[in-house]
Amino acid sequence: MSQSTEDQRIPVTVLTGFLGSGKTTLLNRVLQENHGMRIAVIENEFGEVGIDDALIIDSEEEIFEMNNGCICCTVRGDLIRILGALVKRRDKFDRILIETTGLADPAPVAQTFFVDEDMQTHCRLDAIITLVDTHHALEHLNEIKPEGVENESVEQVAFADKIVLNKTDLATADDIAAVTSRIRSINSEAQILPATFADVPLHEILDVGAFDLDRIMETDPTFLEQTDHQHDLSVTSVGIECEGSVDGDLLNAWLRTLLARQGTDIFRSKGILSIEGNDSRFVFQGVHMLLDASEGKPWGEELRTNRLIFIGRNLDRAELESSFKACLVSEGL
Amino acid sequence: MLMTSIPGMLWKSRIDDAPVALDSAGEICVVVGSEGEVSALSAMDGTLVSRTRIDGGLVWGAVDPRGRRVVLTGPFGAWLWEPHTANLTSLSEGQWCARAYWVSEERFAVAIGRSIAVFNRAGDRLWTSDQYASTVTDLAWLGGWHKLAVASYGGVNIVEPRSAGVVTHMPFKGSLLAIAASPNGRWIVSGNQDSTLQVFRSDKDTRLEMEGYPFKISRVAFDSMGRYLANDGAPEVSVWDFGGNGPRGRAPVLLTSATESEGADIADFAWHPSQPMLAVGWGSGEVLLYMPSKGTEGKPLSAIREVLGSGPDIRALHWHADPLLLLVADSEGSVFALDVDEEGTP
Repeated sequence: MSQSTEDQRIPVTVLTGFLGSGKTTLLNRVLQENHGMRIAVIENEFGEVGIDDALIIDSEEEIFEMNNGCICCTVRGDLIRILGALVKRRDKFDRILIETTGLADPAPVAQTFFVDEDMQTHCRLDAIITLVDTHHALEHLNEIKPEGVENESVEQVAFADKIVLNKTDLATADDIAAVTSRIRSINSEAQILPATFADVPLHEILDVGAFDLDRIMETDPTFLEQTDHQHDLSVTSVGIECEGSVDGDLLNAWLRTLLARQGTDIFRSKGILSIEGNDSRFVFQGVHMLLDASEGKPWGEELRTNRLIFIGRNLDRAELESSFKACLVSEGL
Repeated sequence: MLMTSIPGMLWKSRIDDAPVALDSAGEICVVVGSEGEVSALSAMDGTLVSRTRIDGGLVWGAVDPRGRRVVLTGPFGAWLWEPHTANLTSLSEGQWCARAYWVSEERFAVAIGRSIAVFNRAGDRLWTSDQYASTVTDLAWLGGWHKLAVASYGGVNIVEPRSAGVVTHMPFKGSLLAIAASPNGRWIVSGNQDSTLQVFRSDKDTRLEMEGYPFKISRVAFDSMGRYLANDGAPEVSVWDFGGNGPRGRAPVLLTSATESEGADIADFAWHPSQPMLAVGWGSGEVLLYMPSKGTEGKPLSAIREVLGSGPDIRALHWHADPLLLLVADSEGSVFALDVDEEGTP
């Protein structure tokens, strides 16, 4: 079921992926298949896709630093401009798909939706989809970069809500298992969708509400469960789950301090929390230091359980857990 | 054309697109639609003079001072359109063209991707700037056709098309969304993504920052004498007094909607062509007139659209100079002309 019955904002899908991972193949499928959806496409790599009657806008990546004192807060100026014009043509399309170049850092794209009030009003970031070429994935993910240079492939996996494991026909079962394990070590939460020729069902990647934690919990209550991971890898996921309610002021102070100290290293954060004295869920998601929070559905009779996940570099699970639990005012029964 | 009984309304017309820009001069009023439909209407009675369409949509339109030619800009280029002959000339294709402005009936400038270009009225390109750091978001003529102020990420560049050079770079580390220049060229003001107003003195190396706005500032405009500057960025329109040494140390007059209801966000505003009178269109459907110089404490002089009740949200406003008309376009494609006297009474 589409989320649009509750939220009238335009769902935006961000398509990212390694060079040669099959983004163009997937884009052409999105544009050509008879799926009944009207999709506006914003693409970086002009000319690779195209079909008559489709709304395709070329975009030259313009990353702007925000003048707000946050060193990792950057936005895509081109997206603000293009999306601002697109929302004035709201009745001509149902969804927006943003394709990024193979080496793009997804953070500025996601942060654009948190920083710009017009984007928040008219659009909602639906999901970040990362395509991975199964055959070459380990080579990209394990590549040692010079000091100070990011491994964009690792970041793209870390940011993903869903990962399309493409070209599985060119890989052995052992290769697929190894790539899956490596991806899980970076991002334990993202759903992995195997594919050949990017033949993933489109309803699995468009308007899926991957940023809506309440919805994810309804469909996949285990998504925050801890998975085995290798502690020697710098980019990992840490999930925290505990019953009870937290003090709102303590939580704010904890999040503020955590993101001020480690925001550069924390690529993504998500959480559904129980705030003492509040009948509804507190839902937040973040990209680096920027957070977007809202009230979720009421707890009702359900057991109040806090669930958080952090994906980033050099995360200390024990420290995160203990400092979060210090915000609890009532433990679960 | 639809007949109407609203007081002061001379005519009402309609286009089949959501208006994004409105401009007029001479005998025509041009309505630019987001889908790319462009309608030239008679400023006298609203009848359709000519119509064209640009595939891919549009974001802006500017009519030359005689009302003979229109520059159109959008995500895929810029065009020169002559409504009376239906002649359409491409000025640039494939690049985001944000804005265009005429400086006289002979010359106009267009923001083309990361550069700007100056054309003559036939559409011949006379000069093209170097590439700036990012897409040009706005520009403003500084008197005559000698100088242009150009806004892009990282600051304002003042350039001289005739000598083909950058005269001054006025830095500001931020994303500039709109600029306005006082008629004497002394003040250049930018509205910015970071919710600040940056005030540059073109004759001195100084910059004043106005902060504290809750939203980004995407509209800035000086009145015809350059005394007052209006900007958005808040639920109210701010009007700053630039008399004397400028706005430093002065508080702005805040103009509120009549209803102050939810959704009464600022849709557009436009200064009267000769008086310090500001027309503001609100998302609530109101169109209000204000005279900040008369110490009205932000209260409107008149509320034109209130007589309609809650109308569709306003999209664009423009004053037609001769005869004096206030042109209004709303989100449903209605365009109407109002006869407003010097006291702001429709």
